[in-house]
Amino acid sequence: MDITQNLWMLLILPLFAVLFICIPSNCVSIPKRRITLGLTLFASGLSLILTLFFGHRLLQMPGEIFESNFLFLNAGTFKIHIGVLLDNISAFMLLILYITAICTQIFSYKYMWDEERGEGFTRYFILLNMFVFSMAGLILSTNLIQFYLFWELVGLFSYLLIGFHYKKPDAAQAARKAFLVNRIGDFALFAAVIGFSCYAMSDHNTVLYPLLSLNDVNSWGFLAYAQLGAFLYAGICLLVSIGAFAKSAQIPFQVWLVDAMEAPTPISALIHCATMVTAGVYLLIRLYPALILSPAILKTIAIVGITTALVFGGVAIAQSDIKKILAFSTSSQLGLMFTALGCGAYTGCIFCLGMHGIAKALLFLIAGIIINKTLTKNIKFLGGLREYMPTLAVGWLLGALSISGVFFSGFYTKEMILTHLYDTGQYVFLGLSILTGLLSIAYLFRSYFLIFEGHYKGTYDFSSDENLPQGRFYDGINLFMFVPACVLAFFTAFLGGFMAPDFQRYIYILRQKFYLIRHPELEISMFVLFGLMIYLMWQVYGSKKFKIKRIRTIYRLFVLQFFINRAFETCYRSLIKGFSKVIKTLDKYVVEGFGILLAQSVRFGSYLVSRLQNGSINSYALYSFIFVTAVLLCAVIVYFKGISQYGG
Amino acid sequence: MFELLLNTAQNQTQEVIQDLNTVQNTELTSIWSILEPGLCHYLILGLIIFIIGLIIVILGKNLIKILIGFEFMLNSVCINFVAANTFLTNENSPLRLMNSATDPVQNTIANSFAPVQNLNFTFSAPEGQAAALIITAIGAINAAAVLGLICAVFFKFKNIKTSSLNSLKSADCPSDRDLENESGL
Amino acid sequence: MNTINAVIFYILGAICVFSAVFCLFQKETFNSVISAMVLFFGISGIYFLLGVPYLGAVQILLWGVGIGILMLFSVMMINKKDEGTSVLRAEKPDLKAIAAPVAGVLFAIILIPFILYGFKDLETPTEHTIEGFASILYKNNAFSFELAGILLFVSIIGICTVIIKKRNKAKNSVALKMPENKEKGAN
Repeated sequence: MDITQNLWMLLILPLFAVLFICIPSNCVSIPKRRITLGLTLFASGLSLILTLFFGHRLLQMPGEIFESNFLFLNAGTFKIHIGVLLDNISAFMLLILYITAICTQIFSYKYMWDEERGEGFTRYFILLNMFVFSMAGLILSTNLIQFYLFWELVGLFSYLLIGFHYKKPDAAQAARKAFLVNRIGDFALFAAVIGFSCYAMSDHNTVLYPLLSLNDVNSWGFLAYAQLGAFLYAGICLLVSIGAFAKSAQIPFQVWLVDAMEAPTPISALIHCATMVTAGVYLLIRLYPALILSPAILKTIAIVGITTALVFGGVAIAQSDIKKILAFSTSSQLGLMFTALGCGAYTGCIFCLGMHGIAKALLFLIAGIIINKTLTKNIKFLGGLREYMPTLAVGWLLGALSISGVFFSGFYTKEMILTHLYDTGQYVFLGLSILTGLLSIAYLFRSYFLIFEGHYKGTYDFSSDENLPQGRFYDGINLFMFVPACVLAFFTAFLGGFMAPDFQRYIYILRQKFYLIRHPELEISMFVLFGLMIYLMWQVYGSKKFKIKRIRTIYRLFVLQFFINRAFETCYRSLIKGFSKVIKTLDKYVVEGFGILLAQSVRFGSYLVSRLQNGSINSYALYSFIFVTAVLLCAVIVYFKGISQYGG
Repeated sequence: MFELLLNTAQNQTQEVIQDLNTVQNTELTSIWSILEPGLCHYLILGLIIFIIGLIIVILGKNLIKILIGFEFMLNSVCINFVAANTFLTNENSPLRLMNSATDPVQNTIANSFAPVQNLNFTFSAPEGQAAALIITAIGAINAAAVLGLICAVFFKFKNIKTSSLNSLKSADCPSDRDLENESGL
Repeated sequence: MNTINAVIFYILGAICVFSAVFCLFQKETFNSVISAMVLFFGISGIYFLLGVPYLGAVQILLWGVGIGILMLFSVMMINKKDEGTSVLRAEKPDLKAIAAPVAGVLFAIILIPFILYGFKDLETPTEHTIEGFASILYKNNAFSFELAGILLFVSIIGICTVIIKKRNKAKNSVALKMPENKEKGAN
């Protein structure tokens, strides 16, 4: 088969699915719903198979890159291309995308079953497919301009999906907030794109490569750096990193992720852990050869990342909403990834991105099953679910251990990052990362113990649930919801270990040699600390041996996200109010005033002129005399000017 | 002292007289030569009459007065034409006898004060007189037409004041304060 | 010769200017018309000074006599007072006693060259001038002058149309008033 065609199919398959889903408008009947799911799964599955196929080929031919470009806008020296770029990084990201996408799609088949009149079902799947398309476009983009285009598309579809239940005012407001906060990042990224494209254009680039090609970041990055100087170049890189921060919910911009938990849970599983929030990190990964030229910005990224990780690790401990805990956890883990990137653990960052995505998706799906069953999101009303749904407990433990880096996939990623930090001697970041690990263990195990241990405090009557006979392995959870969670749990457990040893073969933009367990002392101390933390959590929340006193003010500080949310709201409101006042005054006095000015000036002019007609014919004679004199004077002047110029 | 001054004055006048005697058959060099009528004098006369005619037109409260002022203006133009004809096209005019009357260096205002030397007028291009004649003829017909209109105005308004012809006055104009003042010009 | 030229120029110029200013400051229309006629005569003298005696004569004829008399007749016709124009009032000093001797003296002065030199062989320097002038009028630019003549003719027709209509209406209005007067006179 033709390679180029297959490449473009990777990008366009979800669009085909959308096209066919749109044909039956309301999926009320079961066959239509099955067809919808079938189309979606077909698109995603085929894309996954193609990704695996290409990935295999990429592994066998080191240095190979598949690229295909389509000239979208031709304006002389300024050309915009849309294309498909498949190299190792994009293959890996696509793999993660499609694994989580397929699991989410199967999960949401049952989760969205009860949408009214089936309209929501159709809309959901259309939006889901369009989101997958835009994310695939973002991952497969060949140049920064296409990247920005799909970046904005991803933001749009996340807005539509977060506000899926738009009739609820909370969801609508959350969607709006998500969109606006992302917009700030979009603006920064757009400014950076413009900055780069101003200084990065040279003649040969548009012939061989697209403008601002992500395949060839070295060339235009260095060109821009040479022309701009260190300070301005750092400014542009700062704008890029602000864009990444806004998309990936780092410290000032995390407000949207927290409120985005109003979305349906499978959406949270797809968007807010595996795909959209990783777009920020992906941006920085792609532009890493350009960012290296300004080490100050890399340091800034690392500092912001580690700050986010610590702050939100702490905030997550104080939350009582499952999805909010997971949201803050996502933010914190992404901060850790930013730190890794800023400190140079490039490979570790990419690996962590993938493994974290899968594990967090698993956690979100489990949370979705719990919410679907018990109809509550508050962990204060949960507890003791281990006796009713033990498989969920196992899955949650798997996810928790992987994310915090103790066992399974996450362990390899954390080890990559921490080993690199230890090797390069950045002991401060190393210590803070280990502290982040401890905090993540704290909130994840706190949530585990509060949800699955102890006595059930909720109102759902488990004993009368006919779907819940003891002994069946799937615990009476609907298979559509159960199987994806199982798949993700399997991947969480084993994919990391499978990929880790050869991962430097997967990513070789910056070849980093990686040997497993190079520093045993690091591993042992990590294990000891983490074990202590788990024990501590068990004692506090599991068997309730100790009780931690709540210091009111510190608790409030943590719960309210250090008041960043309130700051955002106040800023936003006052900005809108002030701006609207300005516009109103402008409209009233300037725009209307201009019209009034025109009318009044005409009236005044006519008044002045009509006063000339004073009824006395003497003055009329004078006016005509003056006019004729003026005309003759002009004629005489022109005549004499002509004579003086041309010598008579 | 006084005698010294007188002597110096006498010496100076003798020098001036000697200078004058050395100058023969040339143009007048005394300061009073500016009074000799040259082209400029006639143009100034025309200008004065024109201005007076304009003032009569502007300030006249009587329609016939306005007509008289208009005729004054026409006459001044005729004077200008005829003066130009005499001084610029007369073949014996000193203005033309200089090395070309159209030379901008020679044809200055100072030179136009030169008078007509002899009365042997030979006009090479007497269009000026033709213009004056035509202006006269047209002026006559104009006067006749205007007098007819004045008669029409008289038959309608029973007087020939200019203030009775104010039907085109606009509403924004302030009302006249000097309707009673008919003793004006 | 030149000084006489200057003197005559200044006298004539003074006559022109002063008569014009005199006309400006007159209260009566009749007086202003008379001073306008004096101006026309003065300008005719200027023309004689400038070596175009033909035009000077034409000026006297057309302007002084033609237009002047025209304006005079109009002023006499259009008058506020019913008694007619009374230029000279009874109480004012009679200027006829001064005007007649002055006119006689001026006429005598004008006759002096004729008496001294006789009425023959006056060298008119106007031979050459009139030839050139006539060639413009009738030979070179005759077409434009004929057109001017047609324009003047059309304007006369226009004047007549404006005047004669009003005259008829005025006659009608006058005719209506007359029986009333007769009745008053009878009573």
